[in-house]
Amino acid sequence: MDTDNCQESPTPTSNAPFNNSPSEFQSLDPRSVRLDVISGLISALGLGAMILVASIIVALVFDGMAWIPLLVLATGFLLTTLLVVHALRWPPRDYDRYQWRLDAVGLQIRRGVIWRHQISIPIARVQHADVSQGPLERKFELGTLTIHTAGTENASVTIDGLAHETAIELRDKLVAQRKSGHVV
Amino acid sequence: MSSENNSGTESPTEPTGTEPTQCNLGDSVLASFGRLHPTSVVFDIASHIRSALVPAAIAIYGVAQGDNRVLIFGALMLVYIIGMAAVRFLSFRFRIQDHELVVRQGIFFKRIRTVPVHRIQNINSVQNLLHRLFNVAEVRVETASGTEPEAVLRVLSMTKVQALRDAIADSQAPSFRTEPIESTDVTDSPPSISTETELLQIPTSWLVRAGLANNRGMILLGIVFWGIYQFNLEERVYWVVFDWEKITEFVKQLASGYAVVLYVVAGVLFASLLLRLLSIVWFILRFHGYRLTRSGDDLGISCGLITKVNTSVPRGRIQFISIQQNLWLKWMGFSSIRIETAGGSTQEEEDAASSVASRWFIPVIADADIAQIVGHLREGLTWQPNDLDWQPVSPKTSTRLTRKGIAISAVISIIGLAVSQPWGFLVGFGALVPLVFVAVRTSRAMRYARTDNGIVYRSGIITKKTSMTFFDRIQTLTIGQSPFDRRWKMTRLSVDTAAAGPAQHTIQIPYLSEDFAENEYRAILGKASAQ
Repeated sequence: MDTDNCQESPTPTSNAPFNNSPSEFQSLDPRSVRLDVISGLISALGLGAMILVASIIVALVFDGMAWIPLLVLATGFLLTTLLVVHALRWPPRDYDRYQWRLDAVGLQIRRGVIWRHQISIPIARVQHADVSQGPLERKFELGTLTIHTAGTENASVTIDGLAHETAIELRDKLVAQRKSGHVV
Repeated sequence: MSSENNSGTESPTEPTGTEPTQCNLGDSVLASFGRLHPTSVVFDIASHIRSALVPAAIAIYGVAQGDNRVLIFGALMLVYIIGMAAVRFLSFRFRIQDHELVVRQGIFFKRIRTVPVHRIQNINSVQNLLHRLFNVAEVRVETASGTEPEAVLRVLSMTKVQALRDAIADSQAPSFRTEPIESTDVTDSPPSISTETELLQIPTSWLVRAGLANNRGMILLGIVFWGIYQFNLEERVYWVVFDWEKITEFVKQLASGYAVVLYVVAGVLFASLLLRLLSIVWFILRFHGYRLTRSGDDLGISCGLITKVNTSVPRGRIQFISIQQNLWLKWMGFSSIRIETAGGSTQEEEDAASSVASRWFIPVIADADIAQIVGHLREGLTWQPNDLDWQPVSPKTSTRLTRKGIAISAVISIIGLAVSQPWGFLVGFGALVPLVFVAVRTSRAMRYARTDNGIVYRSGIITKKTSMTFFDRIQTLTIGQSPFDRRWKMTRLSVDTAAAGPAQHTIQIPYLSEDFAENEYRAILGKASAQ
């Protein structure tokens, strides 16, 4: 999609509740790239270890046919290498295309390197929002914001890789600004 | 939404008496805690007996083997089921108090559930033959939350059902409602709750047409087969129907060239005719005496020949309206209307009542009457499909879909060639024409329109579906692009609502021109967040 067009605010924000907040799209916390690289490496190496174990088991089962475990090992090595390369190279590209914006209209999230989408949640439709932190996220002081709506397919929308305090600030703004009453 | 309010267990158990009762329930049957109908025990057992079928089968098998211990076990099981049903009946109480439906049940584990009346989406009642014998009905109270009904009242006498409906309608008086849409137009038509106007009655001749147009016969056939297997009749049935010796003899008699083809064609024709007849029967069984009424903001449906269904839908809860028409219906000048409300049953587990309330909201309607009915479904809604500003999808869509069709036929050709050496690829060529035809027609059929209330999407070539949702119902809005979309400068616009999905048409509009989709995205977003 045309990236420049998207930067414009959808409606004129004269008496907007978020005049002070920037209406430009914002990137995530840069530390999230490192977090994604690390978690990607962990899963890649975990898979590598599993393949190693599997090839040892195969070697014990097919006694005398050395090429079968070697083949498994070679494929596993190739796969692990690919995954490691992916874990190193993907997160920066994902980071470049992962942006969010909060304005008078609502929260908008843009994401995707290959399949791209932009989702918008009007503030009035926010049911509740919560911030969670995994062990790695705690170490990097990052947080995941989950926004719940009364919808079906997108009943919950997440942004991961925000700075923890940003996530909390965003959650408080979303919850404070939503209109009370019925949303369905 | 309802999780905050309606599943609390710490709710008031006793009436405080200090608060004045806002609704006039002084002489109502429901002011004090009411019980279910005494026959509830029977129906409760009936509903739980299904879960006891397997142990029962084991017990019978055991007895046949001469093992009496199993019989004792079965008897205990039966006593347990009866006992539980009695306990459930004795401990079950419900009432309406201060705009809340309070349901109390349980002896050891007391459970009190309060459902705020304004959260109630549907009140469904189902009466099968046995229910009608005792003049009782099974009532389900549904809110927007999730998958299962908030309260199941199995079973109530019909007078109590009516009293419950009236009490809930009273509590849902417009002064109490806080629906933003309805507050605007109250001035020119003050909603009166008691007057019930009839919107639509479906005559049997329409149901016959609907039966012809929809292939529901398979369902009845399925029920017949289920019955055959359930009672282990299959061997006997096969003996009668498929006496292979006779059949082979018969075939041998006429197995002279083209006669066989003729008989096969005749057989297929007969079978499809039979299926359509069954389909008519299904429609008449299900929707005989269909009546759609409106009182104030509540729509009511009652229908059914043997199992009578009675359901009400507050029109402020309608998320999604879908008008659908297949080729047969189009030819006869009829359509069907489906609606979606939030929550209720999901598609997998829908009972007769909620199925009528949404999936078969109006099973068949003359095209001329659609505008008038749709006008009743939402305040300020008019339906003039010809006056809408219909926008096509990207003009490149038919090219894109045609190329896709060509690619598919190429793949079929290659597979065909692999299967059968010299002429196998012809299958792919044969598939090319219909594939391209479908591609072109599909892309032409897709239309999008934005109205004052919401957005409308139309698609489909065999079954034309025109669906609309409203700005105040839009929960999230998404535009997205796949790599292919980027190459063709197209965008998919999708809308998420709280609708549970039985209308089988979602507003996900693919192949829109990039710029158009972005403009619409912004326009819809502005309207959706304003409401």
